[in-house]
Amino acid sequence: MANPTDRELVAQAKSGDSAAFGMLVRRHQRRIFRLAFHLVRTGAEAEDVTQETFVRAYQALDRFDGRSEPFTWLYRIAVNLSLNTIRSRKATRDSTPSDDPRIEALLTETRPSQGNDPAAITQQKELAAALCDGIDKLSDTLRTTLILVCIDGVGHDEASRILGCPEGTVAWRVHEARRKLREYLADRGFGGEAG
Amino acid sequence: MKPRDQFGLDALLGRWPAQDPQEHGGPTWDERADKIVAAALSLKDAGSPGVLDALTAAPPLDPEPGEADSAGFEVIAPAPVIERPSAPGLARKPSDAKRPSLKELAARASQAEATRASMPPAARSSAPPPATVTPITKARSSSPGTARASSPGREDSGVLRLADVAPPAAEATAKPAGDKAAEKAAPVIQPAAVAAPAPGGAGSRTGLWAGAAIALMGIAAAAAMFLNNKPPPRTDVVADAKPTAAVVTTAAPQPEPPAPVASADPSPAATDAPQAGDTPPDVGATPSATAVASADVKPAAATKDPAKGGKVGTLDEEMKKAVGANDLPTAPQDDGSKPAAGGSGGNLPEQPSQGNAQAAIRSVLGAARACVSGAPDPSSASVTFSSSGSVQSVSVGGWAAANGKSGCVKSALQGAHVSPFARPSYTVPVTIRP
Repeated sequence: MANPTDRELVAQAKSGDSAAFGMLVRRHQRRIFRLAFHLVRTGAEAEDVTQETFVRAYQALDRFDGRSEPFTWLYRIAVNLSLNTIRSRKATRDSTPSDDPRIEALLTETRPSQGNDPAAITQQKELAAALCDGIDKLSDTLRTTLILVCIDGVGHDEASRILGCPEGTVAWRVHEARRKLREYLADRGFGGEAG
Repeated sequence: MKPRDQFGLDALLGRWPAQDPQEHGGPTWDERADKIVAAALSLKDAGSPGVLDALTAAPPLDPEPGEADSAGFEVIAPAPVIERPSAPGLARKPSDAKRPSLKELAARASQAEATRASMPPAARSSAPPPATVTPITKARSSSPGTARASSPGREDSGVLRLADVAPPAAEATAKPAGDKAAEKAAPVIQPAAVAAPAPGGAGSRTGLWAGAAIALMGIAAAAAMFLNNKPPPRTDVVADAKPTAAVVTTAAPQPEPPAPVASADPSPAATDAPQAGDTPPDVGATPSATAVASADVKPAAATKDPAKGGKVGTLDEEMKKAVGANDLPTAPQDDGSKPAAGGSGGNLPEQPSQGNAQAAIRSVLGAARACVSGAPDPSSASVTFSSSGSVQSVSVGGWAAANGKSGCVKSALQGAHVSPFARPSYTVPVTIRP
C-alpha cells in the first residue's frame, strides 16, 4: 500500500501497527503544531500539545468510530489540549511581547516581499505585533475559530465538525472575529485593507 | 488616524506560519515523530476514560453574544436556528431555549380539543391535558366507590362527584364520636345500629313481634337492674370501655355489660359482634362482653337506653359524674410527679424566667455597685436562689473580693428575690461594674 489513507492508517494502528500510527503522526504533526502554536502562542507549549495530541489519540484509538476524518478527530483533541493549556495559565498577559514567536514567524514569511527597507520592516513588525495583540484580545471562541479557518485554512464544514457547532455559527464567528480584528487594527493606524 | 499602509488581512492570516522548531537547532520532524510514537506506545494504557472522553468531545467554547442571530451565515448547509445552541460543548443560553411559537400552541390546542371531543362527556368536565386524561377517567368510571374521584397530583378539575365517592351505608351511619374510647367501642355499637332498623323496617308481623319482644326484654332488664340496686350504668362509651377491660383482668366480678347491645338481636349480632371485637386492642374485652351477653341479654337494652333505669340523673349531673370520674385519676398523678421533680408541687416553673431573675438582680444591683464605687476593675458574683425564690447564697469574686468588699456586696445582693420555682436552686452570675 503506497499511500494509505488516514482511515486505513487508523485501522492498522488499531490492530497494533505502530508504524501506521507513526505514518499518521508524520503526516499531521506539522499542521497540529501550527494550530497549537497559534493557539497557545509559544513554540515549547505547542510542541507539548502536539505530542500530547498524538499520545492521547493513540490511547483513544478504540473510541474513534470513523464518523469523521481522522485529522478532524486529531484537530479536536489538539484544540481541547490547547484550550486546557491556555486556561491553566495563572496569569494572562495584557499585551503581546516584542519577542512573541508569532511575530518572528510572520516576519519570516513577509520579509522577502519587504526587501531590506528598514522602515517597511519596522512597520511590518508593528503590524504583526498589533495583529497578535488583536487576536489575543478576542475571546477563546472567536480566536479558536479564526485560527482554525483563517490561519490554518480549515473549511467551514470541517471547522464545524471540529468545534461541534453548525457551519453558520462558524461563518458568523469568523466574520465577527475579522470585524473585531479590523477595528482593533484600525484603531492602531492599520485601517486600510487591500482587497 | 492615518492608515499606515494597506494590507490584506486574510492573505496575511492565511500565510502566517508557525515558528519552525528546526531553525533553533531542534530535532527534525522525523525525530519528533519517532519521539511521539515512542511516547504514545509507552503511555498506551495510561489514559483515563474520563480524560479521553473530554478530549475527544467538542471543545468547551462559550457561545458569543449575538451568535444566536447568525442565521445569515448559514452559507453551505443552513441549519435551523433552533438546533444551533444544542451543539455539543456549547452552553445553552436562556434566550436560546426552544419556545413554542403561536402556531405550535394553536396546534397543541387543537389537538387537545380533538382529544377532549373523543372523550365521554363526563370526562370533559375536567380539562386536563390529553396525555393524562384517559387513565384518570377510566379510574373514575371503573371504580367509583373504591377510588377517590379526583386523583391528587394529577390534572384535576378539583370537582368531587359526590355520587362517585359516596361511602357504603354502614360506613356512613356507624361513625361514632371522635374520642379514643368511642372509637374502641365503635365496632360494638355498629352492629346494633345496623341491626335495630332491620326488624322494624320489614313491616311484617314477625318484625312487630320481634320488636315487642325486644321491648319486653328491655323493660325486664331495666327492672332487674333497678331491683339489683346497683349504680346506674354509665351513659357514655368511655365509661363502658374501661370496666370491660377491668373485667378481663379481675375474672369478671362486675356484671356490667359494656357492649352486648348487639345480642338483643340474636341473629345478626351473634355473628357480627365477635368479628367486630377481633381487633387486637379489644381481644380481652370482647370475650367478656360476649360471655355476659350470652348469660343475660337484658343489659343490652339498658345500655341502649340507660335513662329508663330511673336512677340516672339529669344530663348535667351525668356529665359532671363522668368528668369527675375521668379527672380523678389524673389529678393525683400530677401531684405525684411534681414532688418527684422539685418537691414544691403546684404549677411552679422549673426555674425562674430570665426576665424575673434579671429584674431581681437589677433591684439590688445599685446597692452592690455602691460597695465597689471607685474600683478600677469590675467585680463578679454568683447569686444562688433557693426554690422559694429567696437568695440562698452569694459568692463574690473580682475586685470586691480582693479588696474586702465582698461582705458589702453579699449583703446587697441578699435582698434579691425571684418567684418560687421547682428546681432546688438556681444560680445567676452577676457582673458588678463600678
